[in-house]
Amino acid sequence: MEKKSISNKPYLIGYHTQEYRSNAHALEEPIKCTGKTAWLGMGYYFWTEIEFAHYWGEDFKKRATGYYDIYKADINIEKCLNTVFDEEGYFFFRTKIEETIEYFKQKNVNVTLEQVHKFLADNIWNNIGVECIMYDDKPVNSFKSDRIYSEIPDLYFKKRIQVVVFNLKNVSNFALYLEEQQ
Amino acid sequence: MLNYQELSRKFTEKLNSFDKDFLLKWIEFDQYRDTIAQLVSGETVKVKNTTLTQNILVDNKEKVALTGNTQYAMAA
Repeated sequence: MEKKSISNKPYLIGYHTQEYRSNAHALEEPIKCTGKTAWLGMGYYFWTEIEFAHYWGEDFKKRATGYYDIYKADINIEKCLNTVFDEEGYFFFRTKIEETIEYFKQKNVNVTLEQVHKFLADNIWNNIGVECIMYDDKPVNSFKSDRIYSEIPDLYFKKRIQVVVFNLKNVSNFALYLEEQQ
Repeated sequence: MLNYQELSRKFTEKLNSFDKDFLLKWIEFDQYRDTIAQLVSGETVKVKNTTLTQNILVDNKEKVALTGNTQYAMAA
């Protein structure tokens, strides 16, 4: 994971994978993720390591053209909820997810975990000053991939880390980094 | 950097400001948004009409003439 400081503010380098645009200009800003893969709610998603950006491209981002592009950007993480490396951040996030689920239950409203994340992204995080979230999950293979993540089966020792940014103002120097990847 | 104590207080305060009506409206909005996202991504919708025949069972003992019946007129 690459970090840097710009004007005394902490930044992280993020990688954003998209389908290769054969007859169009490169993107000038990241695409907001709104579909089912927006697992922490609507926002701009970045991988913190190029390795996983490639895997995402290989598995999901070359359906139309057969190729994918990887963009690179500086992400301001000054107000980022870091659940991966910050113990306090992790327990805060976990507690608040549980609190939200409990709140919906109390009000007799059925909700899924996916909806909880989307609800928080829509209605709370930005309002209380959380501008991005860093989270990780275990790398798993998609239905069409037999990639080996670990020589010891099921021991996925590498964290697959993503950052979701809720506001574009925290993304700078967004530019095409690797074009037409296979 | 984030102040988690302050953030926790703000979070709970904000969450508690949403009443049941708001939560239900948001769920409805989210489902609508999901449908639109699926359509935009190329998924299709199949509309199927089914005609249902309605059968009503009437028990003769439940047939009551509401006019001229004092007991039922009072209940109304």
